[in-house]
Amino acid sequence: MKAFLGIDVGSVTTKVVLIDQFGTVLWNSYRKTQGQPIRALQSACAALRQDMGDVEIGGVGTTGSGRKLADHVVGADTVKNEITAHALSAIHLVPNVRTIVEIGGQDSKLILIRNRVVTDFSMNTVCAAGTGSFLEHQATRLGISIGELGSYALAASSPARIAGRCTVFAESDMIHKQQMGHNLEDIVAGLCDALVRNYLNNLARGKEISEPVIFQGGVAANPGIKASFERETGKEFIVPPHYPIMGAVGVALLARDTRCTRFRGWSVAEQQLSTSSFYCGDCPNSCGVIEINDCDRVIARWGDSCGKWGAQRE
Amino acid sequence: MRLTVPHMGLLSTAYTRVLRQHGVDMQPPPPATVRTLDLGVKHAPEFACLPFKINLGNMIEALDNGADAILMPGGYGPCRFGYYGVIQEQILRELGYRFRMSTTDNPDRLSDMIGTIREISGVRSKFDGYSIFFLILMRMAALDRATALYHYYKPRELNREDTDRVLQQSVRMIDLADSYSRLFKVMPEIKRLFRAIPIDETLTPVTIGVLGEIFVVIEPFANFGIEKKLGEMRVEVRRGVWLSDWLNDRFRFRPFRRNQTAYARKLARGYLNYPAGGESIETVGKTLLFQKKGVDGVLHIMPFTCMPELVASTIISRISKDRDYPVLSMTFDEQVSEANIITRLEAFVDLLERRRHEGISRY
Repeated sequence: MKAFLGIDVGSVTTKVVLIDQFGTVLWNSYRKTQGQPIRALQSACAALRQDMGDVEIGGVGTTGSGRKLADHVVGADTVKNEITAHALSAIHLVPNVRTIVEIGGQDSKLILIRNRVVTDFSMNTVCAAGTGSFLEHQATRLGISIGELGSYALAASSPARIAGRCTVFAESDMIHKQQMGHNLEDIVAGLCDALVRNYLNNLARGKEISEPVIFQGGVAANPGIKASFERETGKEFIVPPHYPIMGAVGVALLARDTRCTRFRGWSVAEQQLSTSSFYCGDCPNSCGVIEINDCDRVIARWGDSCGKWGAQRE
Repeated sequence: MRLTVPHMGLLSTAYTRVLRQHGVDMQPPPPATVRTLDLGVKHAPEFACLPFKINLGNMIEALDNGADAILMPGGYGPCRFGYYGVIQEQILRELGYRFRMSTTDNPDRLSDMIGTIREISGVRSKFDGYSIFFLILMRMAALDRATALYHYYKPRELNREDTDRVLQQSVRMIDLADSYSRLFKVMPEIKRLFRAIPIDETLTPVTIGVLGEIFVVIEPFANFGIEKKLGEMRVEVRRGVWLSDWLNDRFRFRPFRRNQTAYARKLARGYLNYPAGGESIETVGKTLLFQKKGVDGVLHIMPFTCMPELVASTIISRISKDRDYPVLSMTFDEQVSEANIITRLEAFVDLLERRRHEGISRY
């Protein structure tokens, strides 16, 4: 039986899933990228091989901000953007879904779907206020783990009102509220409310959030955010069982159409891959060119705007 | 006197050779690069828009290369742009540059425009002034025509970069055509060159109308080469604003070419009844036109802090809702990350492709 691999290399976490041809998740891994996407990807592949043995791979898809890098490392058949990938997996799970709210490590998206087709979307552009990394940073500052954040928020009696437009202001506002004597629960709940308000004001402005709404991405782990969303919009937010890996599932679903895969094989886990970068300097654009090396051999190069380094591969 | 004019798309290709022939010592700024933008950002007010910063960078680089006179359009202008020349002059003087600055005070009036041309080129007769301007306009129209051919062939090309090479070659050919007769001879040749590109005949690419503030639409450096990127995603670009139209609309030199601004104004009626500055009325009118003509979607691009286009973007999101028509607005400034732009473009193209096959969806 053939299985399909979906890889989502995000800003904060790397997600790898294995699905069968019906879209059932056979295996999944969710780990921190920690600034080393190749290492994270390789260790996920090694873990997959250990758990599942040498499964036959029928197709590979990559998505996330590191999709191109992942493509060069494992050899992908489908390289898709996160928006399409998230939409596909949500439609697969809930065919009549109309709204997808996705909040990840550094970006957040709102996708509107009608009749199983994406009709509109928006994505945060320059500001990461109200995404996972912001929450994590604040949780660390408050001395609680990111996993506990939700239960604290749910225990609040009267959430503090925190300015959520900008992370810097939110932080100083939180400190102010702490000094005023608000308890931790109320501050955490206020933080969740601020994030939700920020999301609704920026991404959902002028867009209709209609049911069924699916809430996915890493931040969906936080029941406090879900509760804030439901309170603010009056709609029910469904958190799917595989909420953090939905992007990877989506792109694996796409990879099912592959006829002949470009997958490099399980040896990718053991390859001695390293990346290096240099500035071209042949014109004032001085593009940062990135290359992946397998031992001494250059596998791929990219990042140049004129294309002369990319063309030189192998 | 070595004269420089900031870049705007292919405009410098249109006038440099013509003015040189009439004895103007032209020093076009070097093509915009990251260094140009860095220089502009460093010396410009933070909330000035991207065109201001790139223009300023152009000027600094040209002055460093030996130019000592700058020509900048200005006057009561279409938006804040009208004051840009004045502010840029001030900034450059404070940086210690010595140069002569001419701003065309009333660029919408042909006689003033011709006056400026006569002033810088030193031609005596009015007739020569007019004929120089007309030749520049025709050369610009030829460059725009070549760009439109590029938009058609790029998504269909079989070998990557073929079309880009042909476009470069065409621009060179038009640059060398320094008289009307040569220009008319060169156009059929350019068409032949494009027709010789091996293309995928079976492909019916998704079409996207590109609209917005004219500088970011026509200057690839300001928009991360968005037209090329779309072409590589197999999307046919229909550009809604052209520099030759912009010139022609103001001066009506080509009587058989429709006045696009007036046309857009007519189309926009009901949504925007008066010009709100910049290209706002073109954006609104042409969005409605593209929708009527069956173009799959509209990509609306503008520089950050651009007021007229912000007005237009609100109106076209209303059109999008009223007529169930996909519109994507994007703002550009020096802070924008390319990854984010590519993700949104790809998702938008996916959306349009799926809409085409609505009902026979595979998923």
